[in-house]
Amino acid sequence: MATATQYNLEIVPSNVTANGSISYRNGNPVVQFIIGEQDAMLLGNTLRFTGQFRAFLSSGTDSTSATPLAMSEKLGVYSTIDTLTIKSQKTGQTIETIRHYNRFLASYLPVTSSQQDNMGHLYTSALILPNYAAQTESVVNIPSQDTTGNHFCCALPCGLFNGRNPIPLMAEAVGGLLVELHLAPDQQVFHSNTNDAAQTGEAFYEFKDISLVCETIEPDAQTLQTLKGRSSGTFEYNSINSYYQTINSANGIINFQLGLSRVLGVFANIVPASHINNYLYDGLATLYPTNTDGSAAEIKELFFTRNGSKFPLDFNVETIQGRGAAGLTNKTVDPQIVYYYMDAITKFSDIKRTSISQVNTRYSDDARYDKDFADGGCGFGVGVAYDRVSDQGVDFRSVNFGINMSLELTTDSPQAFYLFVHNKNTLVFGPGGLQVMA
Amino acid sequence: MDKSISQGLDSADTETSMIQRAPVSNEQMVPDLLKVSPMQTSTATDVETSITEPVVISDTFCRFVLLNKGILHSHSKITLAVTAPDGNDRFFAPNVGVASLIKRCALKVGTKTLQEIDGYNFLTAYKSMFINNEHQLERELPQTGRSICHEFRYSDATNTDGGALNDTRAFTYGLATGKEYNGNDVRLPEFANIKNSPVFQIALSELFPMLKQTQLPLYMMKEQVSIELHFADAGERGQSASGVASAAYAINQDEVKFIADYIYYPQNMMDSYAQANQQITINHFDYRHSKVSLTSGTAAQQQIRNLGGAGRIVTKVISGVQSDATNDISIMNKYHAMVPEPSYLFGETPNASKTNGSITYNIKYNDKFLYPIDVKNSARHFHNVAQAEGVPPFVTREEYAGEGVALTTDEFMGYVQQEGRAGTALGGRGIFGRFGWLANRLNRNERVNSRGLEVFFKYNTLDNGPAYTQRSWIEMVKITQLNGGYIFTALA
Repeated sequence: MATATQYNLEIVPSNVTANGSISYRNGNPVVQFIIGEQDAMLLGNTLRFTGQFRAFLSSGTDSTSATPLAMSEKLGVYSTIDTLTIKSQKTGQTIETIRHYNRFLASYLPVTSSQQDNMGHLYTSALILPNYAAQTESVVNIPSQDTTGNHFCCALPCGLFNGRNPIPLMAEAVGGLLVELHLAPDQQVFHSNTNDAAQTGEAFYEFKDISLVCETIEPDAQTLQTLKGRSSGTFEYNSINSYYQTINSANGIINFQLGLSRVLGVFANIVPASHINNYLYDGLATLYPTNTDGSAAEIKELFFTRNGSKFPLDFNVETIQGRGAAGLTNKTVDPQIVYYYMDAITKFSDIKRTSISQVNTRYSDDARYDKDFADGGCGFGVGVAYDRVSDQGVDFRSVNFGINMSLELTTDSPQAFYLFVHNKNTLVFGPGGLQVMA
Repeated sequence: MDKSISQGLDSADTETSMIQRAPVSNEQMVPDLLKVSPMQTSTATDVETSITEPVVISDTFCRFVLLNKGILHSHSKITLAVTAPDGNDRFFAPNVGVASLIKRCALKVGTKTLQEIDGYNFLTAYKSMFINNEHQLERELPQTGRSICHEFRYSDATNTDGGALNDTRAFTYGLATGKEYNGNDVRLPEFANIKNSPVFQIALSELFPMLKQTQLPLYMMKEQVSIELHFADAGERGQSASGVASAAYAINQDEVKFIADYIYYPQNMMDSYAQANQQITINHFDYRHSKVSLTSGTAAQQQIRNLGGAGRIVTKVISGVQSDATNDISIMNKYHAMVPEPSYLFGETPNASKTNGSITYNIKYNDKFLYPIDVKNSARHFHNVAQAEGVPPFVTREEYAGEGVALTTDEFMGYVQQEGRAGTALGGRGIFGRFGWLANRLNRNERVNSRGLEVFFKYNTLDNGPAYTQRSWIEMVKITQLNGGYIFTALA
């Protein structure tokens, strides 16, 4: 009988500082971990980013219940990761990179985890707690800030690590991995829970005792020999590509050349561009389009295009708000929009647990935007799934993708669209090195 | 192929059953009748339900004898109840439910014990963490009496104007029972109140985890199959609501019954199956329980405890520390796992004296440690538990690690939920820091050598009050064979 042995690894950052503390503000915007080249395979779903998280109002000053510092309650420690990049240690080639990682998770996590998940295991592992007041008091203002801080140990959801196949770390395959976390700016992670950012002007976060923990599997000698003897191999995984665009008119048009051959779904989340990297607002909120006073710019009509024609829906999504003045008084987001958005992230019929509901997908017309939403904050987005039958995706290599919206954006309020494309990738490795086929 | 390895290498190789059979002598295709999963055939199935009384029952023990017919459905149930001591509010601990009545259970065939779990009520406190909160509230509460679920405690329900103090603000969360909080106290529904004599049930597969993968082909067995339950001490069976005196809870012997579902397939299919499977091998797990006394002083220094397992294939180690002082004047009785106490409360200003305690933990076997560096981070302990079970525990950070300030000071059955300190009167009666179970998967696929398993642990700042007991279970691989109608079972 073939036997294989698993080992637990704990990897500290290769760019660790002398005092063990890492923060964006103090010059460590990138944290790098090296999972070395070895005759073993990485079990990607066991990989966790772990350490302590602390929030400070300014250098030497803790955030307390009397101060207004807050962070995204639906993201917790994930707020701090702006870009996740995974490279081959041997060749330096990028295998997967997800820009705006925190904003991707701001859509992904609420759609795929329930309120009880968020209050329970995601609170312990990622400091998510889906009420702004509770999360602020228990994480940002935790009284143990100066000592033990907030412990976390969170997965890094991405195609490579979520895949079921072990990742071969041998020299003949990927040759070790280099995992880089690009930290988000403090202004993007924190915001003021009041209407005044004066007291939060120098707020920053800091990590301590961070490491990457994971399990590797060492195959028996015979299997290892077989694996190493292969002249080439392939590794298939799903990935996320991100794009950014703004709209500022009542006819919102998004158009991109995706350059991807197997697109499974596209989804986007939105925030006023002025809220990005701004202590006054939550730059990680996933809001509906808004006017300058915070009132909703309701989407009245929506369709998706591929190469200039409607696809995959061959009709316009006409919303409740598109039915004239009476429709605009209805503050419920049209369920068609929510359905297609959720379906683009995970096949709708497979969603067993979610925290998206009428409570957090309503048009609230609040000048405080996302600051007072219950159930984890606003969970709005638009999107569409492309292939729910064969799961092989749709070819967008040489044709454009588009979203066309008619909305009530009647003021000068540029809306930032963070677009995420869920696609299939194939990693080919051989004597010539690595190649990612997207 | 070993299951854990096959899962890693290729999902296509993953075994869907732990049953291994000798080669089938004829080529007739016989469906796998023992698998707990949908069958891939359109087979007529008949289920006969029998309600069986125990052959022996007292206030401390009962035994059921099964009829050797059909295939025993693993979701057959045993019903249990206690006699209400009086008309006051009393309840089963919400994290174990009616399993608090059972301190040991055994599944025996002839003179052989297939599976025996000691400390079953304590182990259930651990196992129940993996049932998601929605199911606990909606399914487990009426079925087993378990009800760990959470809801936010909104702090300003009267203000609906929006703005900073609107009605969406919740600084804390608390336990949810399906009822509204009455002021600052939430009660269990009346049907779960012991004064109303509820009868709860436990599935056979929960009593004996080996039945989660396979169902017993009773019609192929020639020996007597029996189930034995040893009941917990009378004071550890139920909980008194706050203000209600402690009581002894007698087993309601009229309600202890075995509701057995016997499955029948067409006779020719069952005969063919028996013919084709003269020898059936079932790989399953057995749990060995051990415990040791601790004080906060000894636990604060590194302890090395040998859990045994020498010569065995051990796949998992589960541990938890209980405060001996807790009793039925609390929410959870002794069915908890303590974590070191934090030194802060909600809203306090951070300073160097405000800190969380820590648990430092590692396991050594075959001269190597399981983790390269001792694990101290509470969230990492949580991750290790999730890895050990394949499911994350559905408990909160305050409950698991004693970290954070979001657990409410409101009450559950009159007890302050946030009360966690073991050194307080009666040993701490709330749920704060009471789910700190540690579990670790031994992933090296090695047989443990003659030195056994050594657990290295340190609990920094356990509250300096009562005595503690650390309970541990090791999960070992066991092989059971049904050969010619007779059972042979041994640890692998």
